[in-house]
Amino acid sequence: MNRIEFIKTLSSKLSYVMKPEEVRELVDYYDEMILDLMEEGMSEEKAVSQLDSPESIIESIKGTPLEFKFPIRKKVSPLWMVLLIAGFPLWGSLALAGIMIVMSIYILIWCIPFLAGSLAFAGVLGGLVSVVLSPLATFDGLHIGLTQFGIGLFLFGAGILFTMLTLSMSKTFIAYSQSMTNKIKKILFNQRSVVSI
Amino acid sequence: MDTQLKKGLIEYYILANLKYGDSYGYEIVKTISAHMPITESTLYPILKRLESQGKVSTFSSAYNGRLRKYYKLESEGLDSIKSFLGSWEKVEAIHDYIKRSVENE
Repeated sequence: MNRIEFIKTLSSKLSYVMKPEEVRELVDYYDEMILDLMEEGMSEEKAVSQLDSPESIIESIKGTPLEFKFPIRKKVSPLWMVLLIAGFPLWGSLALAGIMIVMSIYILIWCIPFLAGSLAFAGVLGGLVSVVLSPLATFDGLHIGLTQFGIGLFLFGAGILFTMLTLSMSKTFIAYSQSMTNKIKKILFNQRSVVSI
Repeated sequence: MDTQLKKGLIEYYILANLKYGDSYGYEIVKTISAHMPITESTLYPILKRLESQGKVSTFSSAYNGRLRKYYKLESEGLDSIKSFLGSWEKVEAIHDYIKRSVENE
């Protein structure tokens, strides 16, 4: 087995028993070992064969009384089930309210770039139309045509500025939304049971 | 050596090893192997436990175009060594007791 095969086998087998970041740490550890052994003059195959096989590494981890976190499913007792079902009208509506609050926060936040985007669109389109059609306005008098042309240019410029603003804001807001979503996900789903064997 | 005894000793061996200077996985395995045989798979959980107990900390440092994870002794680790040495008298008393049981035969 070469280094890449070893790492692939190990990580795919570990992914069933450990969290991704723990898998990465363990795989890094063994990869470092292989590279260090190779630096001592061993061939890649020889270095890999010096280590325990992925199967026995996994066995040794399972058997160690340590603080490795295994994804153990929590057993839900029947009493809890009954309580959960009976209490649904209460916690269901509370959960819905919570979801709505989070949703409205998102909507509220995204209103800002949306507003900027609308202004950009209105400015660019309005300005363009106004500039293009300003020759027609000169029929009512040169000063009216000129004014329309000037205002049109101003609108167009403002529109472009707003477009730039929207683009830069969207980037920040996307990043912000992502980090917020991740935080919420972490709070909701990252409570895993720890078990010592 | 008895595996249970070895497990207990390795922990302090590693801490003592790091007292001499920061070290990395392969080097630690090599150093320990001079006194007692150990595999990487045995070492990893121990290092991990020492880290989670705050006795050692880790940092990555570039070496030969790759990152190497180094282990560093923390003050909790040093305290742990000292308390191990402090309890040596008790260990010796137990050792003597066990020894007498065979001598009196």
